[in-house]
Amino acid sequence: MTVAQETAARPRIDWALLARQVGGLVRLELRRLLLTRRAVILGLASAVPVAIVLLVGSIPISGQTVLERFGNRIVYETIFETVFLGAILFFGCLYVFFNLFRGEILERSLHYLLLTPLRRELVVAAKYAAAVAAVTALFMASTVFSYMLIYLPVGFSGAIEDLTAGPGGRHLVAYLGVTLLACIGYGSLFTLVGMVFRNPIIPAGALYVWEMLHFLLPPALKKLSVIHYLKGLLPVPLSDGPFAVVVEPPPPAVSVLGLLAFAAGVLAVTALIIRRMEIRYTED
Amino acid sequence: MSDDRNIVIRDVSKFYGDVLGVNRVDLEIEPGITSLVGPNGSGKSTLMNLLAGLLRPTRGEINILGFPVTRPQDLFRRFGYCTQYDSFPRGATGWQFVFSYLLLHGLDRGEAERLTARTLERVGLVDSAHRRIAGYSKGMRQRIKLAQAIAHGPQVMVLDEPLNGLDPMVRAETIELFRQLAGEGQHVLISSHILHEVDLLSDRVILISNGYIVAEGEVPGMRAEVEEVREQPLQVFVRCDRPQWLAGRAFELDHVTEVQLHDDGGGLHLRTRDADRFLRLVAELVAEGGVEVEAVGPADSDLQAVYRYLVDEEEEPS
Repeated sequence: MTVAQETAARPRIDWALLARQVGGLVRLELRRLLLTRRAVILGLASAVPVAIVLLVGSIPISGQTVLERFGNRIVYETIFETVFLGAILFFGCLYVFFNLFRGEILERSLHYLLLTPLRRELVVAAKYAAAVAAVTALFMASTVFSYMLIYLPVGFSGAIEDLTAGPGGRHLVAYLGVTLLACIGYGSLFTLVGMVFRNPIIPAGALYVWEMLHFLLPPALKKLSVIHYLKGLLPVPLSDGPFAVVVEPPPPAVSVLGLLAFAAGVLAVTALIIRRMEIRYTED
Repeated sequence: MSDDRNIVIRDVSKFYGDVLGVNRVDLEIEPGITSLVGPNGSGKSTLMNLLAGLLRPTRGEINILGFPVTRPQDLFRRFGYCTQYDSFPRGATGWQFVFSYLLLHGLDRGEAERLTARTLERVGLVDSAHRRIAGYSKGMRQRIKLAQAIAHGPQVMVLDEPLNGLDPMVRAETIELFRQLAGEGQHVLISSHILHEVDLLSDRVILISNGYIVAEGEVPGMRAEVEEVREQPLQVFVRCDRPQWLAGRAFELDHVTEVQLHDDGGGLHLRTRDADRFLRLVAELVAEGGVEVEAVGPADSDLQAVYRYLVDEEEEPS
């Protein structure tokens, strides 16, 4: 029996084998992301919101901390929306996901991956899943730590009460959900950008301006920004200022499903590109 | 023999825009050691990258053991490729490099560890296995690439210039390894730009030049053909300031059979049965200040010139 006949005689898809292969790639990618310099940079970035909340919650100005003066929920929402969502999540995802394939193209090692018995679409899915897991773990930890610090003025018992009996627990879950969805949405987008562009500055700059100025966009165009859906899920509504074009936020289900569908669509395009991709490092 | 046991390349062409990579390659390669030989830039790596699916043919199709190259999930269990790229995942040790890609074949850790250890032993890198590849010598990097390509026990091994950078001892061991693998009924396709380097170990040789397959066949036949060609005159051109004087000197040599001056008076063509001796004469005349040479080289672009080029490469080290 020839190998082709032998293969044809086997079950169409060996799911256990496939799971081991994808698991192997996810672990390989996780090691690459969490045990290298990248993890240190991401770790430092994710510590920024923690440090900011710590500052505003512990340094008194005129006898009161900022948390006490303006209310811990409003202060946290502002920090989360402007610093975390508006900068750290965006650029953190850019750093990791842009390099998911581009990094290996630049170090001329992508061919090793493409010479393994894995469909290229699965390579995209496995690398992306590993990156989402790594980035989400770091940023969710940052969200939890920074959120806990808003309870500095009320102490441990006040924190437990708010988290269990008050709205604190629901808010924390909402922030964690937004963190996860931001990683999924921006992650897919930057994975594609990394496949198409050699230098991230122009595409990432354009995307950043688009995302940050989304509040000025007309309602139809707002729907084309990731942050529009993420903001709709945030627990404390904040004003976007006097120049904002105000629209009703999409229902949570639409935001969640819309972002997941968006990520799936972008990844499908990425998979199509890598299917047709040729390895010619001299051009990169 | 059935196509399902062979590497089958049907009318394959690859163009990079307007630039030719390979053109109309039609080959059927049986198990054993096959050498793909041609000058640098002749299309060897392009053809190998096409076989591995790292490049897509502009035209034609490739089947390996009955599988199209577009089905990695089937093909790459049986196919190993040692590329020309001297690059590795950042920070990896030799062991990690071989082991981690074995896991992507779906092997459990124990089996992957066993194969990694066995392969590193085969290529003689056991002692350096846990050192970072970045600190390896050129020859060690070449061997760890080879180990990664053969660790999963492929039936087809495509090796792009695998003997490059190896010292004579390791080279002999590596050649012995190729023989063992071929003896087990596997395909070993090796590229080289030096005919002499591979003709003794190959069952067959494919000669490629300027993107075209110019000859293929069993080694004894090819060797006889090469010897025959060596006896035939080779056409050489020289662009110089004193072509008539040089023509006179050339005619004094018994191996020069014909000389023709260029119409513009700036050079000459000649036929010689011993190009090496003629080129030595030109070098001596230049050194003595007798003539100023602008360019010199073989004027043939056919099989004969390719053979001659490859044979000359062979003689270079001595």
